[in-house]
Amino acid sequence: MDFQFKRIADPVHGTIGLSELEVQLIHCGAYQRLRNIKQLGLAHLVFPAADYSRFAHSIGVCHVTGRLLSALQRHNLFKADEVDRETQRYRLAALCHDLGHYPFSHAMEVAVKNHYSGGLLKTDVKGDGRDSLHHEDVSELVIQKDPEISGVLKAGGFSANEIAAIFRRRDPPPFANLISSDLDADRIDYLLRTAHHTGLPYGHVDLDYIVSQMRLDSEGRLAVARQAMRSAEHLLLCRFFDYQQVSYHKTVAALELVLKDVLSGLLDLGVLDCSASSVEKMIESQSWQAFDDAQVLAKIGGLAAEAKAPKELRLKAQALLTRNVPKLCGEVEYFGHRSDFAKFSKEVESVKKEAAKWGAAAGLPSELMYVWDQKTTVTKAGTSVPFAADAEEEEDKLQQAVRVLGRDNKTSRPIAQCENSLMRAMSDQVLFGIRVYALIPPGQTKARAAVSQAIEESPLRVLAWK
Amino acid sequence: MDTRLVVLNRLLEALAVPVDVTSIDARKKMQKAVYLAQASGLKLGYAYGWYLLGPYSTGLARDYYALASTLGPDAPAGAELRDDVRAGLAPLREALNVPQGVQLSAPQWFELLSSVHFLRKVRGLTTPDANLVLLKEKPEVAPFADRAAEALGAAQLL
Repeated sequence: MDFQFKRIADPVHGTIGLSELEVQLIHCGAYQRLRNIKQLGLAHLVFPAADYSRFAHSIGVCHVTGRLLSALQRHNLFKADEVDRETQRYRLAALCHDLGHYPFSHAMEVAVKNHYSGGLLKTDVKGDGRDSLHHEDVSELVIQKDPEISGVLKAGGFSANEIAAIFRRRDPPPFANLISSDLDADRIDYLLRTAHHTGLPYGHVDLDYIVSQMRLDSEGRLAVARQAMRSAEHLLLCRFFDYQQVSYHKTVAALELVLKDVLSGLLDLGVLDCSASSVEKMIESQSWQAFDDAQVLAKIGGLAAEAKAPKELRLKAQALLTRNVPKLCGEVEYFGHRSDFAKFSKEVESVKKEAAKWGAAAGLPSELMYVWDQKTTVTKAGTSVPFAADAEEEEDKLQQAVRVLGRDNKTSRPIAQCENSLMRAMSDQVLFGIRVYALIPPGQTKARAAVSQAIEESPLRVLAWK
Repeated sequence: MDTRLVVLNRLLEALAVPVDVTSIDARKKMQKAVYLAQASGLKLGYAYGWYLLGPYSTGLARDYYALASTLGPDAPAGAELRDDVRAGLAPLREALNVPQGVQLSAPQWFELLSSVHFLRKVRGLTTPDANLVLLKEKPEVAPFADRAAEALGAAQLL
């Protein structure tokens, strides 16, 4: 199979080769849609060039997957007569893994999940009793039901099920970790591409070395050679810093909070319909192809101009359009242990309860007060978890952990269990953070200071506010 | 509290499964009970894969940890499950009781029920093939596979 049938110039990877089947796939309307879904949501409102698309990212993930597979094939990853087909299958999974992202990706997904509860509750007035789909469910539906894409895959000799099994980790095929794990093609491309487009230095992953040092252990699991452990650790640290500096940047996080609210409002008003049944119909009728960031942004514009819309909701829509960012009024940030998760969640709940009072002190309605929180770890699994694999959640995390090959070049261990790894020292550490924001309406210039003062004077002492 | 957490809370309550994340057995009961509730037709949106202890969903794990951290004396009561949904869960609630003569703990019984269902209905294995997998991967619960199939049948899950 010719994986250089067509070549694409890419600012991150240089020249990317694609097979004929891959070219046919990306020409489909539902694939072209990804050009109009921004990978980083509203991050471009802080980092002006960070507006790359899921289209570019997905092709990058396909390319990195191909490189990893080629490197591993030196160690006889697949049988000789299966190499081409299996390589193509994994590359297709990489290409298709993001097809089901809603416009504005994660912000919309959170709003959708909270809107549709499946009609199970007596008070299920929202969502009209319908349920919703996770974006990976939608990705699978697209490759099953979009007439063009399903036709291309079928003609190429692939079933939707065998492609989706990889990115859904459903009975995970042996090398599903290439697409979904702590060290996967998805994260590698994301970090490299985000660094390129934000101008921040946190994604300069040593891809060439990592690729060259990928191995299989004696049980057929992916692992990096011992000498590449530092490069793998560097990648994990890059991800940590990337989250802090981009996704969790104080302004990006604030705008995303407002966006979630506005999208929820559009769902409440019936302007958007993202129920499972509607999404399926959109895919089948191919109207899904036009359901992108621009279409939803136009609806946000309509909401901002709609005099009959609820006042606070309209204000939020206007805030997104004019980049009126909620002001940070209080912040707490500290490192703790994984065992502190429950305690931290209670602290967040306490702050949420107080936030309305702090807003009221400044004359702001509770709808304009936001509480954001994070609990970020460097690795999915810590060192203090039961490695006896008797806990499924740890089994799941361990299955996706970066593994390091031992001196015998046969056995491997999760990176957090290697005595000489930085990850061992850090993997039980969690960065906890709480921020209180207020969306200040035009003209209320003193409101921010009033909220900050209310926080300072509050009897609630979670920790010292910054 | 998010709507999906309210639904999860009420569902577990209806199945008499406590929201408890403090032990592996307690978490296992939640995992398997929700799996079977989905199998009974409730659209809860959790994707399950096959793990060491049978069907397991990472999305559900995230949700029950979030739920456990928000539950407390002053947690919002949330909404109630619809009466027909509660009534529809009755056969499953019955099936979750360890039958007389089955020497398994409740978490083991939950694991066996969900595993038999997954192997038969999701993987599409025949009864002998499913039993072979159970014998190989779960020898401690495998001897009661027929009783589990019987209970699943009574709850119209098989």
